[in-house]
Amino acid sequence: MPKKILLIIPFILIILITTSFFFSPKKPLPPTPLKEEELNIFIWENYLSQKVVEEFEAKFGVKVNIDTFEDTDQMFAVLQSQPEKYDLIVAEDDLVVLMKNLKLLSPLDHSMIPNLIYLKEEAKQNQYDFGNVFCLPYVAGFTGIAINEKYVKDFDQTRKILWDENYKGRISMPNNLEEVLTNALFYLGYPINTPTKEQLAKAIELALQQKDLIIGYDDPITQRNLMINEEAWIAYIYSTEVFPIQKANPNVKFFALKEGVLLWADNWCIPKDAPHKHLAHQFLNYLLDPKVSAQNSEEIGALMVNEAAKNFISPEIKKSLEGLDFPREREILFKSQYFLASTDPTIREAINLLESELFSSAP
Amino acid sequence: MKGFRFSFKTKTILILLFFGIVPLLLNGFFILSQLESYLKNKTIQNLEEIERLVAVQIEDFVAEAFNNVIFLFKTPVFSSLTVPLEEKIAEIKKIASYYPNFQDITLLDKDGRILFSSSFKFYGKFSSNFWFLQAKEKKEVIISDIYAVLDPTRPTLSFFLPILDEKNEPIFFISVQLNMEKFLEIINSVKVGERGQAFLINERGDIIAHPYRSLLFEKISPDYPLKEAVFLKKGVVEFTFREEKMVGAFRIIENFQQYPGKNWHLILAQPKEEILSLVRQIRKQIYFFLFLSSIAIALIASLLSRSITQPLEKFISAAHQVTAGNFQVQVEVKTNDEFEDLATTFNQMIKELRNSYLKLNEAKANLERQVRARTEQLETLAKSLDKEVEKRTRELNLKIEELRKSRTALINILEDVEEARKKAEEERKKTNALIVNFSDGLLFFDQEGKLSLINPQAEKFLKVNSQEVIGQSLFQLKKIPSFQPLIELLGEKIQEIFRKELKMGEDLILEVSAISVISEKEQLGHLIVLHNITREKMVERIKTEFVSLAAHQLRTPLSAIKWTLRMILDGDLGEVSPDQKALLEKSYLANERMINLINDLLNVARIEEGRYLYKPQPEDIGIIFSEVIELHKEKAERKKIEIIFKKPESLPKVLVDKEKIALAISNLVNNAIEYTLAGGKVTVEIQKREKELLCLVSDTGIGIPKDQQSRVFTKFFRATNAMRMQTEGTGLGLFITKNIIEAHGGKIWFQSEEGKGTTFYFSLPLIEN
Repeated sequence: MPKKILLIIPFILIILITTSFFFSPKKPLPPTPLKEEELNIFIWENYLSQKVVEEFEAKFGVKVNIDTFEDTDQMFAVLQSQPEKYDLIVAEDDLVVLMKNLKLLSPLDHSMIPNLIYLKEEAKQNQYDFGNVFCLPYVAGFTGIAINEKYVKDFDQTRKILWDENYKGRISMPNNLEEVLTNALFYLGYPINTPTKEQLAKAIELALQQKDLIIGYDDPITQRNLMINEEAWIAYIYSTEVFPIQKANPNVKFFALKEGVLLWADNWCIPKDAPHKHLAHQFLNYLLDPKVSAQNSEEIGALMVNEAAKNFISPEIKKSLEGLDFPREREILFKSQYFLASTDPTIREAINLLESELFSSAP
Repeated sequence: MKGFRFSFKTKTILILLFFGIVPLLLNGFFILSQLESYLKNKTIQNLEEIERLVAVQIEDFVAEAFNNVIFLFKTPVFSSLTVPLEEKIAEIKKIASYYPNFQDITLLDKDGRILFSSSFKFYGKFSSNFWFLQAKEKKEVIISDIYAVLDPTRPTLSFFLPILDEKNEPIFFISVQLNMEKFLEIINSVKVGERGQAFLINERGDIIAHPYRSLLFEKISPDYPLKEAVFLKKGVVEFTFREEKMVGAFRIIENFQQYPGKNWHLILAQPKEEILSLVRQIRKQIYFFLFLSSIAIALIASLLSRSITQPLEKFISAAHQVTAGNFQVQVEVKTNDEFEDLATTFNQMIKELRNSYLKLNEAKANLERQVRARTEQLETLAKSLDKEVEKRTRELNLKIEELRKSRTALINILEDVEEARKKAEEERKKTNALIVNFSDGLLFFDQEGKLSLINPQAEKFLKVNSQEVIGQSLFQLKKIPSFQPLIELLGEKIQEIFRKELKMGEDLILEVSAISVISEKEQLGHLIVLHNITREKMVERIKTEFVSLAAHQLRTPLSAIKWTLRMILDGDLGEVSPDQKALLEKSYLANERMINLINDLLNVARIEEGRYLYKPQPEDIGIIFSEVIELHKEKAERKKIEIIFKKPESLPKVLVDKEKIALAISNLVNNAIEYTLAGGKVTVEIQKREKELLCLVSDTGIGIPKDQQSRVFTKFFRATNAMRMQTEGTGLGLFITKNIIEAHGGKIWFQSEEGKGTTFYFSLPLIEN
């Protein structure tokens, strides 16, 4: 027996040595996540409570940088050319669809946002991002007309007033050309998501007629100020602007329009190349906390799509915010629509053409 | 332990194999280990070569587009302020139609607002576009990254060109979108192996060109070393792509000739599997070669060892022949070496051996002669032995004759036995007739629990035919409906029971007894006796009804007497003299006893009629006990008996009929006090168990005689010693108590020793959640 073992050992050794050439351990270690200390947010102006942000900074020991934009076209241009610049952006429904298609967004990790349970059911089952795969709905609203009742009487709740010569120089339009175009489409009674080329051409023509009647195509904050200081008497304006205006100037009333209104929802998204995705998720979860959400709502004057938050909002504020997320009148709501075709090439072309027509004669 | 034995031949073969095969295998595996890296290097070299060419094409493509943009737009038409906007737009339209490679040309004012666009197919404000802002700031042409404008399957590269006035300030901007179809073709056309692919990724790891359009703008897998690659400029890389290991070469495209580039990574990669499959093929061939060589070496080794061991074998065979006695053998080895020397010596040795052998033979012949003489003597001795045997045989024959006689006697005895058997048979028949005609039902179960006998009466009671049931086991019988109640009573294993009642139907009530049948200390089985007591029961019921009626009728006048006496005693009807009062009190007490007796009788009657209703409610049994004990305190003090009451601090409630349970407890406590001599002790205790409450009432009284213990709970029973001590008493108390406890789902039992005392136990089930 021992003799046999002695004879076999060299064979085993040889086999071990030779085979060891074929197995070389080479496993890369997973990268260790660093603590993220900075969060860069790109959002509309006055659309996020400063207090909420400061409390978040204190709680998590981080620095939050907020850049604001005046309209989402601007935001999109930045995202397209600098996808690594921001950790969180706010975008409306149609833009979410486009960014999703262009693979510009990072999917949300729901396990990091346990507060998702507080989200309104409608917001979870939305058309543009069913199940909140890429974005977290923030605020829902629509675009209607605000008028100052001191100067404007007998408003018939239609868009006719936006082309009324009597109010020349007293009308304010938003700087978002999608709004300008769909406003014209609504007024003409055309379908906003599936217009024909002829209908688009007519809408552009109509929109151009407005140019000389209005004060300008202004960003929401400018529109707000124009209405408060009564420079403008009539504004085609987002429902989210109404609360601060009415607080400063109670003469201003806001209406949904009989032709139907453009519904929209603003959403939080994390860009694909966001450098601080972990912290971004933490921020979103923090923002969904019912108390935080209520605080935020009170300050920005818009209801967040948070079911549980309602219980924490003061009753007066809640009352003045009601009806600003969706039109109260059933027949108007029935005619209202989201503008999800905004990235359809034909419509895009029309919007870009409208822009060039509106501004090419300017300089 | 016997060790392994290796022949010289085996050892020789092993040594030869070791020195032949080991170097061969070592060499073989060395080649194999080098093979993979060699092939990989070769593949990578190929990839790098192709990559270099592709990179040049990419650089050329962008550089050419760049040159075109400069050439077409850095013209006075755009920079001159005197040329009106309309003309500039016309020029753009013209260029757009000549150069379909420019999918869009947009003219912007100095703030990035759109003045004109050849297609209007884009999204987003130029004024916020990073590349536009750079062009504005640096006042030079900026090349964008490859990005998706509106369609992720159609990537675009844009140029942002500032048009400067004479003061070097931008007055307009032109944005040109490049059609990238041709560019993608460069990438598509790269063919590496069967499944090799070319990737172009940007600094952030987005795939910006790849043969599969659907993958554009997806991220390359995270194991691709993005930063390291930029630092190294070019090299070899391994990464995962769609769950497959890829091996390839990368190269950073930094500049498009003289123009600044974007740090694009051009990667040419092949699945590792594909490279390895070639390695595997070659490896297989090497293995085959190694295998063949090993066999060849083994053959040579065995041949060589044979040439060494052959002479040795000749020696061995010669040695064998010598051992067998052949001394003529000669070993012939002509190898002209040590073996030949050995052969000569060996032959000499055999010659010596032959001489010794001859001498030995002579000595042998001598010995044989002596042996023959001895044999003859032995033969004579054998003949005398034969005669002795003959004599012995004759004696044996006589003995056999004697045996034959005894056999005949034995047969006679057997005949007597047969007669006795017949008598026993007759006895058995008689017994059988007895059983068959017996008025009670009889069943007999054998030792294994199988029914072996059933008489006609039992057949009638149980409504079965004997043929159906004989030989069946208890378990099988249980399936017959009419049998079922009986079997349930008997249990799975028959125990002795004594006169248990069994209701078979409205018109048949049986009294069942099970008796072990033992014969000569051996248990034969069980006899079951079914006695029809239907009639007795009926009589009993009629009796009960009578008692009930009579008692009812008696109680009313007794109550009247009680209240009348009470009023007289309380002086409500005028003064009563002490003598009168003493007599009246005696009457009152006698009347009271009478009422109690009637009450007991009524209770018994109700129990038997099944009318003793219980209204259970959750109650604290401790409180009921305290109340009962309180009632008996005075009596106990009078008799100088100490009552001890023990209970846990908190007791769960139990479902009881308070009035009835109090009566039961009262009976037990009263008995305890009644039958305990002065100075004794009565202990009442409640214990909490898992599923029940255990209550016990124990005394240090006279106890119950052992022979009467089995009848304690029967009606009208009074122990003999109890009767001696206390002449009064109905013998109904414990009967009622037992019925009350059992109606509550509880159990009651006792332990008693005459002269020492008695302990009654009863349990009540707890309320289940």
